[in-house]
Amino acid sequence: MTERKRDDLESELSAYLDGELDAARRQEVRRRLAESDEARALLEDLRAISDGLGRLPRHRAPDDLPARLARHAERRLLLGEDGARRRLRLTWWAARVGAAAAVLVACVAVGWRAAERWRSRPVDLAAARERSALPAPSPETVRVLSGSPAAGDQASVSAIVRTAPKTEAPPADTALAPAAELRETDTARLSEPPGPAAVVALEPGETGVTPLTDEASEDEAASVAIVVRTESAPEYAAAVAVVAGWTAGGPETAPSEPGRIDWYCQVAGGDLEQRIAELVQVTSGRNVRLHARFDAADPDTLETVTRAVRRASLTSPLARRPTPVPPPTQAPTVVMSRMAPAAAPPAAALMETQPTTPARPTAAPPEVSPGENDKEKSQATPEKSASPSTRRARARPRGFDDRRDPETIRRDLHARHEAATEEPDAAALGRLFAPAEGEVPASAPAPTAPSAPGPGLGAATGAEGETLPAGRPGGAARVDRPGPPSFFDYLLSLAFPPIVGRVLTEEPPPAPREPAIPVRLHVTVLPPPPIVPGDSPTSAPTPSERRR
Amino acid sequence: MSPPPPAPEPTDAELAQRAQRGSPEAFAALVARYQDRVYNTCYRMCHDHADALDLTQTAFLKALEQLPGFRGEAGFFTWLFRIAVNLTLSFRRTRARAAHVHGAELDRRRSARIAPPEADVAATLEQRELRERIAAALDRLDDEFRIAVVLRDIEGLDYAAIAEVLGVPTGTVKSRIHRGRMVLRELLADERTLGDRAQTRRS
Repeated sequence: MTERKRDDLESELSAYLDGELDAARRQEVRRRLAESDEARALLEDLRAISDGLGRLPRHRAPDDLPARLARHAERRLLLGEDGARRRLRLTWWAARVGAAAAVLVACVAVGWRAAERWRSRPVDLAAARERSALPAPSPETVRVLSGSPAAGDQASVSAIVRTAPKTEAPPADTALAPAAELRETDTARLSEPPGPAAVVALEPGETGVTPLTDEASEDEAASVAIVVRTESAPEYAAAVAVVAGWTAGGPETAPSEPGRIDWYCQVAGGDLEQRIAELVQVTSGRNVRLHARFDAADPDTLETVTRAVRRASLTSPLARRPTPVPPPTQAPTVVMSRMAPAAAPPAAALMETQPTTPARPTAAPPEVSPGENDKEKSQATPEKSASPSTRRARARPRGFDDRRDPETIRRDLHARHEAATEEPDAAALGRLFAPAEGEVPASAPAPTAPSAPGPGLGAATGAEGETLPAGRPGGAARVDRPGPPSFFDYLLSLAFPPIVGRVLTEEPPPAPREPAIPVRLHVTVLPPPPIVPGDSPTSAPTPSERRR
Repeated sequence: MSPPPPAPEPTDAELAQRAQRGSPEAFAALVARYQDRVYNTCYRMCHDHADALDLTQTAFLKALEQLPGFRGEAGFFTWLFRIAVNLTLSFRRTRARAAHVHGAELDRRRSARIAPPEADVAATLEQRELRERIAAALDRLDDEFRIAVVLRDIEGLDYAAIAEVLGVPTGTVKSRIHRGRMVLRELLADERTLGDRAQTRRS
């Protein structure tokens, strides 16, 4: 065998061994192998090496790799980039800004001299307007995809910004507003300027957002649906408490499934972000989904809603379920039994449990008619001109006054839940909502008796002779001095310094810009999935199933 | 009553699409599916568990970040391995520069590890020794040959998939695998062991 032929054969042997030769080459190699002992020995060596490599022990990744990934992803999600890259980026931006400033100065100097020459020329205003007429933007779709490297805040939510067919040409600055907002996230791919109406939505199905059936009316700037999918009983209770504390709203419909809360209210556009922030804080930022419809011609609403979507998208890309909390024997079935009238002074949002065990008669709330309710309130708060914040504080359910931040409420609920789960009856669950021992609740007006009064939440309301803590007379409870920021606030401020950076500062937050017309807010709080092995985590069982 | 048949396991493409639409569970399923293979490949390239873990984490995070750009033209597995392999090779280049000073010492240790065994070592120990020697020899391969051999003989990828992962033509893959095995053969120049294995197989 010549040297060249031997080299050719050698180079084919591995491919022959791996079955990567075509039929003709395979036959050729076989023929040569039959002729050469040396080639056969080499083939056996190669086979032994290949087999030996294949038999090397396989090393498994550590079991906690998903948890490590979640931590790292969350860190990247919140911090966006490491310090070195940030400094580099800042340097690059500083250089660009400096260059742009130099060019600008040169242009101004040249333009000034040119303007001196043209100042005396007559101007045809009509022709100028005609030349400056902008072409009407066509409908187009912008997808904000998840997990972009430069925008960690979009990691786990897909949002769609879609423009509706054009009805009338918007002002040029309004048409560009969505593009500017989305470009901040570095994830939007914008091919054309959006049209006048925009929808910021999450993809239905994947996110569990129920499409809105109720459009915003003429006097509402936007219709925003928020779905909070809670993961544990305390989280659920905290979310319900937050929502129930909002005045000028009430249950949308009868609950379609046990524990589901549908709540609507009208809020000023500037309050929308605050409402979202409360829910995000209570649920640790997970599982808050938004679906918003609004008119893009209103830049304030657009900005507010887009910010809200970005906040809601601050979720972990890898769902880290918290340590499962054992459910109480009687799973919580909380419904809003009474809604506050929109115009009248708001009554307390009364919540009750619907236990399957007989109600304790001693725990039933007193029967109070609406008239008595109003009378009691006037006695408890004699001043007629109560501020909106005062009215809001009065409308809180017992044990949830808005002087505490949601994180405090959540921690309190955790503690109460641990105590409640030691007593496996439905009444114990009600203690989740009852004021803590030694705690003086906010001024809560007596509720109207529900149709089927039971123990627990309803029993906790309606007590007379309540006093308010010293220093907060008249129930004018409002956050005078916010508590220290939580770690989540800190991370949030790093991720969105312009939005929440003020959390860590001592300066009072700037007054929100409110659109002229309010926003319709529709909140759905879904109960935590049952912790039953083998059961679907997304389907809530009926009470009868729970009993089984 | 027979239990209902289990739902068919979603394919990589389905999981990747769901992950692109924002489903963290889908991405977590992809992680669970491939974490061991990625880790093992990284380990075979680095021979260090801490480095392999770091590289695996980084590969998955990078995959998560680049997921919106995944078009599904290649399989998710191939795409993920390309990320992991590129990271690993880049890491190895950086590490090689840093460890240049200690190269002689490492060579001495590795030579000691692949020294021929004593004649009277038991068969099981021989097998273990052989594995260790093969692993040690693999560590001495150049990275471009090593990754090709690892992907072929340890991960079982075919030449086309390896070409896609490495971004080189199939002919290059064929050449690198063969040359890698030939270098390994030279490193494992214990003719008795290999000859015994071959004889055992033939008999």
